[in-house]
Amino acid sequence: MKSHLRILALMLAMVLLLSACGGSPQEGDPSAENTGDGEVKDTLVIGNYAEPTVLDPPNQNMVPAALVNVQIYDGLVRQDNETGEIVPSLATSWEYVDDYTIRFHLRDDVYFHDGSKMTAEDVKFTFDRGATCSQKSMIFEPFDPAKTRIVDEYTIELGTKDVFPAALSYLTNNGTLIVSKSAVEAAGSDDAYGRQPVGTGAYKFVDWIAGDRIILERNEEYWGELPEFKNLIIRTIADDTTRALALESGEVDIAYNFAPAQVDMLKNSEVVDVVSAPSYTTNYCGLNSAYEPLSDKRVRQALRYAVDMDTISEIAFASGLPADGPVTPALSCYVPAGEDQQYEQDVEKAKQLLAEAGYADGFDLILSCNESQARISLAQMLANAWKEIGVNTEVRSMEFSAQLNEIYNGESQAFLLGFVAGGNDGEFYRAMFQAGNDGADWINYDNPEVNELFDLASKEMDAELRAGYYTELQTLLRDEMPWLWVRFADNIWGISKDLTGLDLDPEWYSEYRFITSK
Amino acid sequence: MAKYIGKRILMMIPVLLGVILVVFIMNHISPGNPAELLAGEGATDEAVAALEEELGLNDPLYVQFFNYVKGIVTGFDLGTSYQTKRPVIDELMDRFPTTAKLALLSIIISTVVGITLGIISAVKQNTIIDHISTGFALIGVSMPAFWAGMMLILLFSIYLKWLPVSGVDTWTGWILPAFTSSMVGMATITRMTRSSMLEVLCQDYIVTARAKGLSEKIIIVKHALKNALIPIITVVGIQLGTMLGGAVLTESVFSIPGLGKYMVDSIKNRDYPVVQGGVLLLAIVFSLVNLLVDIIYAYVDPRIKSQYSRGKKRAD
Repeated sequence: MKSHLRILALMLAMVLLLSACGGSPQEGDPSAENTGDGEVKDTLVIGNYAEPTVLDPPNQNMVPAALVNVQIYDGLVRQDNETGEIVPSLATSWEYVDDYTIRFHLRDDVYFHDGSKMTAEDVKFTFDRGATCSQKSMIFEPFDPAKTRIVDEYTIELGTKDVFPAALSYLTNNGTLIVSKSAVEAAGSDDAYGRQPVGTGAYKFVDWIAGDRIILERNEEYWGELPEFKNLIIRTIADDTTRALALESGEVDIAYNFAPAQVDMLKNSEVVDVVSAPSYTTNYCGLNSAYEPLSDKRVRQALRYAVDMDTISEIAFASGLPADGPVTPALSCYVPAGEDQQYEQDVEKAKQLLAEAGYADGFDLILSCNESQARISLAQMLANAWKEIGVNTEVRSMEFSAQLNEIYNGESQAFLLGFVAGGNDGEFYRAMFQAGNDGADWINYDNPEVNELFDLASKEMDAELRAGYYTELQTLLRDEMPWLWVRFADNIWGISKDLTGLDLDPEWYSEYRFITSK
Repeated sequence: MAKYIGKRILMMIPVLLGVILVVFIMNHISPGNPAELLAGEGATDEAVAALEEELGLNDPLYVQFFNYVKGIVTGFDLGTSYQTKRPVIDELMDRFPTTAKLALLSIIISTVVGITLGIISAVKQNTIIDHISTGFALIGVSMPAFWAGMMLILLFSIYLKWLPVSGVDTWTGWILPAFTSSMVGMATITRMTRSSMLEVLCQDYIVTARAKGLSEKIIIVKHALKNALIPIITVVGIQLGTMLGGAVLTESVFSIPGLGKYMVDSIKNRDYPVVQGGVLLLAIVFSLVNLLVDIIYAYVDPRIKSQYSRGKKRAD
């Protein structure tokens, strides 16, 4: 009997110990205070699909983190998602001093969340620091820290290494959000700062419960219009279905990035509105020229003619638009494909092109994709269609990291991937198609004409001429077909029917300060 | 007994070293590059190369391994997460309590329900009650947690609106996940209790006890159950160990910030230090639970206790 008691006591002690160290992970969570009936709703809850890495703008490169950053920080300029125009934010105005230099006039009434005043010194610090951060190096690369010049406390000049007409678009990228110099220095290291971000934004950081939620509260000293909601909670709910159900049950007010099945479910909901907007994402199938048959343009075109892309991509992705080129219509440099570049399904033509290229009997092809259901079904449908023209396709669905590794090493023959432009400018496509850049290396693509046009567009300050180059590029690429464009993705949000004012950002970076009750 | 425990703890050291080595090698031979994942889709080669340098991935493997083990031995330093840049130990300890709480709740539910059902079906062998409870056990092991969890959410959270869909902010949030993750254990324990009880119930000493005129209740609880406990404790121990490693599916479905989901994400992100640290933690927990099970054996069965004190390990 005595031994029984001892076991019982031991187990009881374990339970107590564990429940004590477990605690309640949500202590201090403001959302718990206002769940009662009749109380005013002052908390907005967002469902994020993954846990952010760090909340430090230049040291991350993932949507779930940047989405939180845009609530906490402001940039020099921002893109108005309704008009597509670049509008003032921390900078009230700007002018080109010469082709290499932009002078920004800053607001003089902005304070960081730590109480320090935002000055040109912080802007300089942000750009000097950004130049040393690897994850956003692509965005900072065109800027030359040596040319940055503080004119006075609220005026700063940013210089570019070369003539760079896309500079302002680059400044709308979340990597360039302005950080507080004093806060970064006080944190001691970038790693520590990434867990205690200090910006000038409408919401300030309060707490981060690892794996669960990030709690922000309204910045009462905000320089712009104050948001309606006092608290902003960004919860990590990785499972698509659970995120949709949390929205349906009212636990979450806004969520995004759903699989097609959840979108269907939410469309029938009585409490949730489904909102969609064109994004900067193009789903594509990369074709590697290093694999002999794919180095021939006719073979690539044949692969496109063999499929009814509009239908199969609709089945696979269930949203978005059929793609008619690499550039999405959400970008201002987009031009629609001409009559002669429509690529309607034409199996006979595909066979003929293959025969002309010397592959009348077809060839073997390996097509890789990650574990996304949409991409797997697309790959299978492509493989089926290609079988008709004698191209025996083996679909390899693999873990994303393994797939990326293969692609980055230029070892994939054909692969399904998505490309997201980093902002509203054709310049972002350069890395994908101009020889010597990474994206072009993945598919071993090198076309002198394409290379030259990207160079010209990159340095052309005349907007009209520049647009002309991008039009030419799109026509050329549509003919060359280094990718099979599959579908332009839509960004899809679910939002409670009680709310309005969702900022429809083509990269998901909606600023939730604009959300109001209906 | 104390000597036995001390010896067992010392024996854990080579096991843990082995675990570290195996995980380290597996991490590095699996395809995928943490720097590429961290840099994001479409990152430049320079960005990836700079990150590789930053993360110390360019050092020879043996140097990386040596540094890692040195860190652990000298200051229990498990390194820093590639993804979040936080110490791995902090990341793990932020999540372990949640996982431990879920594991404990689940094991309590599955043990209590499992043993009760097991006893009932053994005693009422081949009756309708027995069939129902074995049927229930079969369903329990066969139902995947992501499906069962989703069905429970639909019923209790969406349709009846009694319980929250996700999160464990309130005690009501624990009910569905604890029940979901207890199902497999419950079923296994029911089956184990039933077969173990059936075996004991036909032993001579039970017949003797009945002949002595003891009440059925005393015979079952004191004479039969106590002797049937050893395999049940083993199963409970294994279940507890597994659950302490994180119930991946349950955590995903209910969006619980626990260890299981975090480990899977870290494997996908090739966050080597987190994977290594997490598996090491899991190995320690598993070894300790095993030790605890062996200690409980001694209290349940005096023969085992005497073996321990003689310094011999059990024959089985």
